Amino acid sequence: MEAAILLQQVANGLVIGSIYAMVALGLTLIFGILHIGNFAHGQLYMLGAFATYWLVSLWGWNIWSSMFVAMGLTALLGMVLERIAFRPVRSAPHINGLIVALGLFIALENIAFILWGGDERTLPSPYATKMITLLSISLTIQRLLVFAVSILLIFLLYLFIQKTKMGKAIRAVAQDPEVARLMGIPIHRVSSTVFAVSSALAAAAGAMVGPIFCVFPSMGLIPILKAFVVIVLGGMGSIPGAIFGGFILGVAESLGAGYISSEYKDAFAFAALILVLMVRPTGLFGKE
Amino acid sequence: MSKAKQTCFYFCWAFFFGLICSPADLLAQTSAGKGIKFGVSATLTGPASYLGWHDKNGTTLAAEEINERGGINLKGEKHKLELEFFDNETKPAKAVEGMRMFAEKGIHACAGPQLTPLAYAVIKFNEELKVIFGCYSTTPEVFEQGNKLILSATMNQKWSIGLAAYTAAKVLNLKKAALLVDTTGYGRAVEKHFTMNFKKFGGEVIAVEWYELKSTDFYPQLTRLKAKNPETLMFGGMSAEAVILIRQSREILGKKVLLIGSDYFKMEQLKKAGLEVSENTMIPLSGFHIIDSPARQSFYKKFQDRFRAEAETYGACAHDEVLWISRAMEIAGTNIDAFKIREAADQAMRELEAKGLLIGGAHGGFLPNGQAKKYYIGTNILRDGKLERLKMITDLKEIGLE
Repeated sequence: MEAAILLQQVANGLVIGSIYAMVALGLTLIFGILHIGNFAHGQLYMLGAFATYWLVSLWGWNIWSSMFVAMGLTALLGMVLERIAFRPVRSAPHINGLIVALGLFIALENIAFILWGGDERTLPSPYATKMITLLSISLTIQRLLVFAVSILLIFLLYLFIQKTKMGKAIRAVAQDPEVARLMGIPIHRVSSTVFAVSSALAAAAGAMVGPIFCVFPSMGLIPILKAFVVIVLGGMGSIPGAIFGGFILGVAESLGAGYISSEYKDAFAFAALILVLMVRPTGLFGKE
Repeated sequence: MSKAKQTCFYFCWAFFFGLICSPADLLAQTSAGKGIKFGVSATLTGPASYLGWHDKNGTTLAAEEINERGGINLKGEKHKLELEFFDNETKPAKAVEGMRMFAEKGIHACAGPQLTPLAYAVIKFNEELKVIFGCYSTTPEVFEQGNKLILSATMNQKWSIGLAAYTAAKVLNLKKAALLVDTTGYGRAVEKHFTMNFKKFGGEVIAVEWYELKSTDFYPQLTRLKAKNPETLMFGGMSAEAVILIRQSREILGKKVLLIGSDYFKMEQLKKAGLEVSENTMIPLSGFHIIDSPARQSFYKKFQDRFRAEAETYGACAHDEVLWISRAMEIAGTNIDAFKIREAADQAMRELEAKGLLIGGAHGGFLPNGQAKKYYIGTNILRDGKLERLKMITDLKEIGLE
């Protein structure tokens, strides 16, 4: 029984960790090129979930097509936000970008409240109530899909960053934007692409968890806070750091709540952060 | 122009512009005529916004009913009732801010804040601010602090949780219970009352797990509870978490474990979670859903027609608070002396009860602090997609709780 409970807690942690990793990846990509903590990223997660919800509920689309369209729509929105909100302050002190991000966070959440109200909505999914049992671990197929889709998207992102021309350009801009510009790399296009990709990732995360955690305007707050912890834990601007940091955080939370105290579940995230920073101040994969 | 004259000139212009750009309510107050303002502190946003939506609509219908009859009669003159809404965002600090704002605007009677953690915050200040408020918190401790300006017209947990514990232990013969409750005053009161009563009826609470109000991931807590192998799981949380809790509980604990919902869990939540998943869930139903009076039917129909949704207890209780406190104002002859309104509240309640105008769930008999003494309350279980009645009482003595 003890082993079964431990396996269940680890499985719980890996599932939630995959969500943290997906949200944190988008955040770290933006941080890598803009050096701004984009708080509004949590609202793109929420808007992706709502877009999926409306496509499924109003038009009867299946969850997969709805998710892909929601990713596309949120990617477009991300590009628009980059153009009108973040690009004007790119040359300004970092605090300006932070304030813009905070303002967008508040504005987008409140627009959602006005449009759709505060009620939680269940995103219909044929996988949300179907159960499987693997090695005494109980999981709905939806939770298994969350993990699988996250791994797939992370892998696709890896391929994009490592194997494509745009990916190379993104890495170059993250390393040194001035030199990248001198090399003829279109900074604005790279920035737009990064926002599109990160927004799409956030939307996918929101769409996948909608059937499990419900969809409501303030659903982006906790994931974005955890995502910030993940990127600091993993190393600011580091993609492997965001991935490993997300899973470490998810499992630490789950095991902490499972074996120490559930009342302080959220505190374990910050305890893990402090421990890592004490040993490695730049984060697990951060550069010295 | 000398510098002093220049300064004075600019100051006058600034004052003039400030005056014409003043908030609309300043202008509204000066031009409102003889309307009486009544505050409504509602959770329009935040995790309990579902309740706030019902509060807003229930109070709106109550104000319209009063105004259709000509308004409130104060010292021989009729006054229209105007509601002043404040969104407390489900935050205690905002609830206090709302109370202060009402007092500053000369509003000394209001409906809400309704939730336990918000009421706890506000009862430290409302007597000093001289604001009387109605509250449908079901936590008895909220009304036992000695505060003279808080009124309750609904059931409390001694009833709902006591009956849930009785039903689980005596009717369904379950002996091992686990609890999953939020860390607010409401959740802690649920834990206290369920543990006490379940033990009284021969059962044992074998584990208690906690969660923060905005949480949506309960898997670690549920997995921990699974290790204890409970026969039943009691939830003490708000409606916002109900759907999520039901689904996640079924995933981890399976269908054999009876789920018991607190007074925020209604059929609406079971439907949202899915009736198949919600099978074997026990929920309380009280007054509003049991007593079928003409006033209730009228309220139900008006709510359905106007807001295209099913009326719930919350809106009905908020509706009653407006009727109750307004009638108390009429008897007391004042809308700003909160203590005089309180003195008149008992008589107002009896009159409204006698006329059958109250619909929120309190019927007959009141304690000196204004809290209703007699309720109709039942426990129901979802079986094969339908709610079956397990037990109903109108008196705590029936189940040995008084």
